[in-house]
Amino acid sequence: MSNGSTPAADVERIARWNSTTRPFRRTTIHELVTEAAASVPDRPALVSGSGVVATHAELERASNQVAHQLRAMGVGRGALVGLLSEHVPQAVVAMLGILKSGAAYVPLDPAWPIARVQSLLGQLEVACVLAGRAQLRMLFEVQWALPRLRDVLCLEVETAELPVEPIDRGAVRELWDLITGADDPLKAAGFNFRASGYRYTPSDVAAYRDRVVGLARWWLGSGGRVLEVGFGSGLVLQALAPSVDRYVGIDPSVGGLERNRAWAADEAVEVELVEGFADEVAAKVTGPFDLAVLASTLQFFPGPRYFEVVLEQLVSLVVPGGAVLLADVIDPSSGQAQGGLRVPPAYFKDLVAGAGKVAGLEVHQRDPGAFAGELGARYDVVLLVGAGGRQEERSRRWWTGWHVARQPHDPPKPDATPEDVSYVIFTSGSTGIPKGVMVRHEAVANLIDWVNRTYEIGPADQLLLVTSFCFDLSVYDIFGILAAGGSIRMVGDDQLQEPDLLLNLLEREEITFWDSAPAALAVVLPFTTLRAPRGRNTLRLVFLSGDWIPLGMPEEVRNQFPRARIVALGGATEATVWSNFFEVHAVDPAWPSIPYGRPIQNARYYVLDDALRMCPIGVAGDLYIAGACLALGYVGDPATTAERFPPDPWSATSGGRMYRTGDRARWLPDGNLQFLGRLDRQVKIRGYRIELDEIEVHLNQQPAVRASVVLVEPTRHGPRLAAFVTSHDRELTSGELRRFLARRLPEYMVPNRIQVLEQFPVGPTGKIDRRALLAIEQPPRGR
Amino acid sequence: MEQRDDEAIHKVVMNDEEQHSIWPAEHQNPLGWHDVGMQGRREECLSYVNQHWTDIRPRGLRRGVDR
Repeated sequence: MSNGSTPAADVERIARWNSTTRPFRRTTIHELVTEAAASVPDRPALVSGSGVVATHAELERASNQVAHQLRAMGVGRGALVGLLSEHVPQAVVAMLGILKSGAAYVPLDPAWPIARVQSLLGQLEVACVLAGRAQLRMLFEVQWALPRLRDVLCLEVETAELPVEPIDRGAVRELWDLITGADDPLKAAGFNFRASGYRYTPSDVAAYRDRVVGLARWWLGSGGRVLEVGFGSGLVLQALAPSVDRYVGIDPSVGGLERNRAWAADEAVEVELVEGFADEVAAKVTGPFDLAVLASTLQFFPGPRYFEVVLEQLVSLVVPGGAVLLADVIDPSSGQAQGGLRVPPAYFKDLVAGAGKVAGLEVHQRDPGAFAGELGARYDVVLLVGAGGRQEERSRRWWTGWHVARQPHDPPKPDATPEDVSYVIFTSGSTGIPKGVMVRHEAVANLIDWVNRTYEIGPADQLLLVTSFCFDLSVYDIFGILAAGGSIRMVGDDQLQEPDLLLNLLEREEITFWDSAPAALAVVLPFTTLRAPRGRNTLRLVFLSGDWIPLGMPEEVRNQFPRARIVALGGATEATVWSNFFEVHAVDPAWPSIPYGRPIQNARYYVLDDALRMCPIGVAGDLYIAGACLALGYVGDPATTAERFPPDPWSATSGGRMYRTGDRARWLPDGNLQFLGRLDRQVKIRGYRIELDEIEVHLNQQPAVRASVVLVEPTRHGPRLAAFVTSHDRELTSGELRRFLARRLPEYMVPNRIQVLEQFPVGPTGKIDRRALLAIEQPPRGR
Repeated sequence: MEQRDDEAIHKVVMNDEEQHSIWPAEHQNPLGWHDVGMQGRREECLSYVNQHWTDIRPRGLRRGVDR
């Protein structure tokens, strides 16, 4: 390979800086953790606010059980298992269990919009997800759109069945007393309560009522026996009851009950009205019925299990050949009623395939033009009740900690090899599609070996876990510290947002190790000056990576935590967390930035020109990483993998590859690298890697958007995202665009500034003048 | 913005693990890489890779898992 005009002496020096070869144990991540557990079984492994949650031996046994459970479910080597959980101790047990089963874990952030979680699970064809208890609802909603997703396991649930979601009876009754007590008949029927949004007219509501009554009448023919659950103000009841043989209604609201009793007396219509909740229907009502109706009621149920319980009771009250009419069901894909129970049509199809007495199904989609507001996006379902007796397997299986607790404690037979994939972590992609990076066990083993040896991490160390599982820093945070026999201090997601609380932990507990992007530490530091220091001698190691480190930060940290060694690290998800480091001592005021440093063991760095020739020392070029740290590539994306991982012409081993980071850098004469920023439009903001193009791709999907440009805008508070949009629609507001993006992208990718313009400024080259865009004055509000 | 010569002629190369990549056509292949017989503009090469390298796991791993 040509080294261009680079002097031979430079090539030789660079080669020396890159001679990092060092033997390390090529093994799996979980093997490293298991070995540590054997040497310090009784030391803490997981620590929370209430003390030690698990010792190393306990974590070992619990994760073995998870692995056995996964194997029993058919998960093993080569599989990808989703992990959708907040920072709870069970999430660590889950990750370790997944690795021990032989599979790789794929972390998904519960804070992501549901559409992103769904699309990533679909993209990877994930068949099994380990979920936190708080994420079960999200999974219930997405799983029906994912034909490959079959198994969900929730370790936090200890009963064999998922628990029926509790309902706050007092609060629900009070709410519906308030609603059904409204003077305005539309409000009493539950419409127009929100301050904003579409205002329904009496004819809108009548159209909805006629739809429900029409479906019921069509099913009943003449006469018939009807049970209505949640009749509310009586919208459907008063239209349907006069023409049937028997009408029974149940509702928790006393106000609604009285209102309809009065109506029945006035109209001399015979109805039987019962006070009660939907889950009490079998106990309080006597059948049989030809039709059970739930109109616009389902979304107020506390969860899918509650609905199942109610449905079972309804089916038992309806005669074979009868039906259950579920009117006004909300599909999660509509984006409506977040927090309410939303059920996709696929759920009902599965119910029919499943067994029990539901024998058939009619899904009636609505013509959006015929219904106002949100009603047009809802749908109606008729479930046909049969005689029962069929026993087929449902397509979805739910497992819990109860099942796991029944598995053996002993280690499962090892399956994965060091060359296997251990995790897939997503990075933002330029096509608008995130890319899943596949990282092998042995690359992580190299990293752990390097960190733990270099910084003498041991059983006395405790790391405060502040990073999302979807960020690869967490890979070291979890497995690195455990492999050293140390412990992880877990903090709940809500507490992670409170920097003063994190400082409390640093001061009062035995935390020795902080690892984060600089921004996460930057929010904690101001609190250190607000109070007298106490217990700031325990923290001995601070790792900062993922973004520019403010030049004043190392000194600030050392002033407050005098024992702390500060290490700046860099690399890429594609090169396994970190592959270069620089220990920061005194910061030279002449530095433009903290040096990027040198490669870690078994990693090599190249600075190359456009023709892939080495740049001389001091000359800026494209930064490439090579060595044992490289990822395998991007799941399902051979072209991008081939493009980003070219052959390594300097590799001593045959067929070696390197990774094109997309960063610019140069070698400094002392053998340190200097980082010069991103080459392309991939940026880092608050530690998150963001492809500006991805945001533009999403903005451009908004129907009123003509074109969009997303830029990074420097502000007094650091860089932030600014989006500029041209539109033909004079009514288009930044608020609308913000909501549109928030449904599709994680919060950190939604620009702080969104501005709608009539035209973009154009520069001398004919391209959009980006600098001029940022100079445009921001309106105080609206457009 | 990234500068790249999209018109430059590349070739598709493969190593013993059957990992594919692209390489400037005028350059000699690095150690352990051989031509697969496809040459063209960058995009053409990448589209060839997409069609022919359907499982990006290295050959050794593929064999182990699918045994």
